[in-house]
Amino acid sequence: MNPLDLTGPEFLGFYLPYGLCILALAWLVRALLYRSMGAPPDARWTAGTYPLEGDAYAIAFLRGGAPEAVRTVLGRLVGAELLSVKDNQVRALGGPQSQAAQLEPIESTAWSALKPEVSYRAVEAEERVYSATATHLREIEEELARQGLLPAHGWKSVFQALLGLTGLAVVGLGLAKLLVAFSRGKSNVGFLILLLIGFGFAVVRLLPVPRQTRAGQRYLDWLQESHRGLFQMFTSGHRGGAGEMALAAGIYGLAAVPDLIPLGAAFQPVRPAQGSSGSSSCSSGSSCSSGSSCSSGSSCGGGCGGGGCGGCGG
Amino acid sequence: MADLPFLGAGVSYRDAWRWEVIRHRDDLGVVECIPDDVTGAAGLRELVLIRQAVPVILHGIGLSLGSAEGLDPERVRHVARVVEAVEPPWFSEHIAFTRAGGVEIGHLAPLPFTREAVAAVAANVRELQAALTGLPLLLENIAYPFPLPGAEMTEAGFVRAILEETGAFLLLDLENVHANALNHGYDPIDYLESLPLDRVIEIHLAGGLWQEGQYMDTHTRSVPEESWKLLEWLVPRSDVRAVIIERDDDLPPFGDLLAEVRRAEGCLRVAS
Repeated sequence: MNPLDLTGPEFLGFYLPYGLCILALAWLVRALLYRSMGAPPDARWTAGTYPLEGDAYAIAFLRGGAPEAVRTVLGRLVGAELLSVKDNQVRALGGPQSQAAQLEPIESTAWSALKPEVSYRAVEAEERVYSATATHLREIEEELARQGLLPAHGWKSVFQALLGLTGLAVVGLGLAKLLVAFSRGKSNVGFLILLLIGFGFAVVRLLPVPRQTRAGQRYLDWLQESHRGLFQMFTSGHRGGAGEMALAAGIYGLAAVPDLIPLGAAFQPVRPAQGSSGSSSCSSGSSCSSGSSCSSGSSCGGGCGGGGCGGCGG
Repeated sequence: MADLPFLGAGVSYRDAWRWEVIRHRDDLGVVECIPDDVTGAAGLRELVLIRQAVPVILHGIGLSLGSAEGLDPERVRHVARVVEAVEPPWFSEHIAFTRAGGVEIGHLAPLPFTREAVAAVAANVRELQAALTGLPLLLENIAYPFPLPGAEMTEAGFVRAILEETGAFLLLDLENVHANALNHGYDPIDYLESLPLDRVIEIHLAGGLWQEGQYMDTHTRSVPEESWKLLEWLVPRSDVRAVIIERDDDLPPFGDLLAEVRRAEGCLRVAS
């Protein structure tokens, strides 16, 4: 039986259960794959193990990818008074030598990437630091994968393949039938189009390529629960040290630290004035221009204070 | 007793120090939490999160071990729930009563040094030991503003009799010893020498104030030198496993407290 030769109602009667079954099967396979990504028994970062302040960038990376790690590094430099933020501009300062001497390699690389006393748009500063610290960021990503918190490259391919194959099997068949229907001069394809949209949405929603492994998600959840005291310290008006600021920013995003809110806000998309004919909020050199800030979704929950991330399509 | 772990020096836990305790986890050997303050699943979860950073011991304040009417079953169940969640190496309570005739009196009240009071405490301790199935129990001496009439033994004799009757260990509050010695005019070393020092597992240190001619253990000041001297005297003569710096009010910067913790840790190390 060639389903493409079925009549419209017959095809719909076949396609709906077929699509649901394929989706359910793919969802089950994804769940099993997700569960099978385990962390090594001697993992350095596991729920119940408190991190060091220097782990802030790895945590930020785990939460929101390289862009969140870069912003957390910038936040650490702001906390150490080696960067200032004013009017969405980031400026490298001479800063206290004592603070500069205490910088971790990734922090000092980031600081060196910005010329002293030159003002940069926040996104520009982010891009410069991103480029300069690429090696550090790659090391962080590899370490997180080794620790079983991020999917290793091979696992990502497996999830991508599952997403692609399921999409092909469900949406592809529907599209093929749509083309056949058009080629036969049929125009009553409304239900098929509705099903296609529904299945397409379901494939994307049910089978995303996971950012973190299950262990990684658990660790993040635990970090956010166990560091409420740190979060409350900042919200109750204590300034804290630069390392504590970085740790809080890594776990919750820049918006968790009052001193870093201007930095977080500097990455927000500039909203066009009401009634202007400008382009979308993402076209203004916002965080979306880095191509990754919005991919995580989580940066919106933490670092971004407003609704700017909604415009990124992520 | 040899099975009880050596924890070192730490602080009594206060919500205001939630992050400080975690941040300075490497400087703290132990944190003492009060189960009476733990409410609901969220409170239990919070304790577990603290325990993941620092060893936690539990110190009760409201069981009223001296009540002749017996223990409040609901309070005992609550303590048992907290113990189950935290799995501390021991549990401690005061040799005192906080409830009489079903009325909570809101503070630790002293017992008369009588055989009847020893029997009442012993009965309650046995009930508590049964509820906490095998968990070692420590009993703490308290400060009392005036001696109750009708005493049949000394304060030290009273403590000793309760420990012998129950098999419990001693949580020795040195600031209470200091306060009682000042208020009742005795030599604290003489008092300590008359206690079963081999039963001392934990020490409490705190700082108090003179109020209306009495020295009160208010837990609002730094540990006085007199109490430090008592600790230095005691440690080589006992097998102390933990020292807790208590502070309830007028909370200082956490760094000040850590300095006291380090000093206590130094006393323990010198002795070992």
